Amino acid sequence: MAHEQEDHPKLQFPLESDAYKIMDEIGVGVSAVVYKAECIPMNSTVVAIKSIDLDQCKDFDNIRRETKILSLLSHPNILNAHCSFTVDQRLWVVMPFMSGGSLQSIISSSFSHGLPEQCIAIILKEILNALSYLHNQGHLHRDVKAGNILMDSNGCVKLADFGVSASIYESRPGYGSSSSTSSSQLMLNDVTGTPYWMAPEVIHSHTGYSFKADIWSFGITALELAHGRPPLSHLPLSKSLIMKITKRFRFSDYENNNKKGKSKKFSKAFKDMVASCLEQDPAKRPSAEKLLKHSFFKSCKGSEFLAKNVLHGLPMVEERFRVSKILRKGVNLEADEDVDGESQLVKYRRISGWNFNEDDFQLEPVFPNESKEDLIVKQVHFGGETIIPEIVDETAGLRNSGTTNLNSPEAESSLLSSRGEGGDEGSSPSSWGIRGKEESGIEGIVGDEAGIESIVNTDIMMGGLTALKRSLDDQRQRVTDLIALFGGDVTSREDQLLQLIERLRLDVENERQKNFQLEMELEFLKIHISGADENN
Amino acid sequence: MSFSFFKPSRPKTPQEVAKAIKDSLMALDTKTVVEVKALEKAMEEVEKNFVTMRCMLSGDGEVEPNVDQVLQLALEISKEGVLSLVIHKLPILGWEARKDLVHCWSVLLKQKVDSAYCCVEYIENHLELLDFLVVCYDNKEIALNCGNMLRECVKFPTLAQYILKSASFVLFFKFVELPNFDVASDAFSTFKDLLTKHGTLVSEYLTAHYDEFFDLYEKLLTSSNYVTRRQSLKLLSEFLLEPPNSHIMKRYILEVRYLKIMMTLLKDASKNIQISAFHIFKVFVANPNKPREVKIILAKNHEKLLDLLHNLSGKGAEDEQFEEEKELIIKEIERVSRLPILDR
Repeated sequence: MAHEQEDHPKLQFPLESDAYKIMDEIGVGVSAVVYKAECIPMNSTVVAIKSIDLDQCKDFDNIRRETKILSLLSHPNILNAHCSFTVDQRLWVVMPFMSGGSLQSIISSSFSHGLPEQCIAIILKEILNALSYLHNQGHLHRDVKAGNILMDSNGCVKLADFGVSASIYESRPGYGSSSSTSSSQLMLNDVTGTPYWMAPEVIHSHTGYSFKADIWSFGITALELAHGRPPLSHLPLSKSLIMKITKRFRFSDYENNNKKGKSKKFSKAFKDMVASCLEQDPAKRPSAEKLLKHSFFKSCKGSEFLAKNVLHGLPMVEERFRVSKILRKGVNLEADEDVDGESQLVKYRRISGWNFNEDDFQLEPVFPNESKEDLIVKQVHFGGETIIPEIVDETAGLRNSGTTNLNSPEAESSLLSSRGEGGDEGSSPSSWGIRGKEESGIEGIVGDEAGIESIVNTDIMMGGLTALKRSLDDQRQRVTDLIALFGGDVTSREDQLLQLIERLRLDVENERQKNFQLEMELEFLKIHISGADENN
Repeated sequence: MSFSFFKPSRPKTPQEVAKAIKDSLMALDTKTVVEVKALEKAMEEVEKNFVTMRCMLSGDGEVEPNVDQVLQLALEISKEGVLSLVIHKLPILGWEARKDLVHCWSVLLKQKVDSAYCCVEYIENHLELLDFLVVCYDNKEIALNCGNMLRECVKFPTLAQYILKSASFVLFFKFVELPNFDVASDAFSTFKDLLTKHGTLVSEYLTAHYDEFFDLYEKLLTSSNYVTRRQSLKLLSEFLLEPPNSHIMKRYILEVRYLKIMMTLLKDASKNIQISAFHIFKVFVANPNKPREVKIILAKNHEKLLDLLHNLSGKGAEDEQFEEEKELIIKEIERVSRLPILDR
């Protein structure tokens, strides 16, 4: 499993920006951009450079922690940095270039329904190796998700992005007392990570959490790889998310799933493995080391299998990024508007926890104070309390049509599905179609009564239009290259604006996440208070 | 490379562990580079012993460490002079061995036998070890390991005091600007710990070395490196505005030279730096006993200053207080600018 990069840990990459030639943009984060670049003095070795705007960081502690943790780790499944240095207000972190890109981008580009189980097993096993090593060293990753798993050209996967990871030994206040570093007592309690993947004890952060929080996120990541998206991700991360969770649990969903008879069958071992990761009680979740011994990973193939079955025919990572950027430009603005207006419409509803439904291979919320009735009855009953009943049929219909569309092969379908890439909303076309309908029942994309047909047409049209747009963009790129060849100035104002929009969008997203976390905390406290009331 | 723990073949006593570590480290000396195989073998022995030490000090993940054994081991290690040996051998140790060592170091230093920290006492009697660790920041390979060990030392007042007063302290002003970000920022956290962990010690040090220290510090504040400027400015308010240092602060805000630095930083391209600079600048202005030179500077530049301040806004929760302070400072600058005595 040794990889060329690991064989020469002593290679000294230059510490000045002049030594690198930026080739392409391959990713954008809240305060960072990732480039593909060449290191000129080292035979033009291709590298990835994460350029972080330090002035957007409140303090350097997080960044310092990330670089420090990374520089003390060495594992074939952990993406390490070659070096890092500052360029004016930006920190450049030079890393090996992972030509496959993130699994999230691979999925949204070519596997919108999820990867085959055999591939998932290989990926998860490698990631468990990384987690097991990490946990052994006393670190938590805290943001395990497909978007943070990268693949190189040989099909090797690595866990990346230690931006929010923590060392459990360091966060402990006080010193001087006798030695006690037993992991059972070590707890963290700040809320970090990406909400969809977050373990319940992380959201309810005052109870503290530990290594097992990574195991939860690992389980969610398994579902993400299997289904093409994390559970509940078709819901926006807006402040009414808690209520939305109850909506997701719809009669229509059930019917739908049953009708389809589940296009994909997963093995018992896989389901069992994921179920154990998604235990509500962290203590009941197995450690990474123990999970590695699970039967699911017994007859696992090697990374060559991934290279052959996943990477083959995949567009280049920079190409995927360009496409997603172009698509997002058009789509996200509308989708975002859509999300904002919905909060007033909905009634508050609590959840007391999560159940993993092994048969459906889905994660489901549990509602407090409700008797153990049949689940479907419960849904109908719950629906009766809110505004859902009237739209159940419609959404079921829409959902169906959305799915049919997704099932259709062709390039357009894969193009369409890459829309969600990078954005945490990860909304598949069908889901935002529903949202538009369900929440406002009017606006935009769907058109009022046209219903099923209109959405199909829209999707196909969108596919055609985006494909056209892509070819136009390619042509423009060629013209630009020509102009550059003759020494002309090619900085496009549009690109600058695009970047600006993207950054602003990410800012908004960031704020929304913060907001969401606060909401979750508030909700949890409310549950507590109501619990206390009942006791009295 | 394997990352798993090997279980020691048989349980050893703390005495045996300490002895084995010492012997294996000494054995490194007798081998020359020519004897590649022998050296490798000796190195493996050291690594194996470090793993044993780590297990004894922190348990192996399943079994909790035995408190008595931990104390015994700390005692033996300080008695046998193992601490000197490990530090001097650190540069030639392998990656995993260095990490094990860093981990053990922090546990060992905390061990208290009869109300005395035996390992800390050992270092107090061998203070040159601290200088050795500081200089290691120049060696990229081991800089972060040494940084971790140093910060463990800095937690103890006697050791922190030694470093502050030693000649090697000046080196930190260089290390925090090293091009390698990992190393530079690690050096900065140690530097920060030194200046903030023990208030009265720092105050004593600053009193005795006022000119020397702030001359060097000025270079950090006016550095062309963004990170250095921002970090050093923030750190300055963290220790200068602390109660034990109030006499230092009072002295600092009388000096026009430092006022000018803050005024330059108020104009910095970075908003973060501007705001941090404001929090020190305001003390210069709010000082009821401003020297005449300070008043003259403020009066001469009052238009530019007021412009800058009006455009400055805080963020989030601190907003309200920030605006309040800003108003006060603006009023004071306006008042000073109208003072007639300054015309001449």
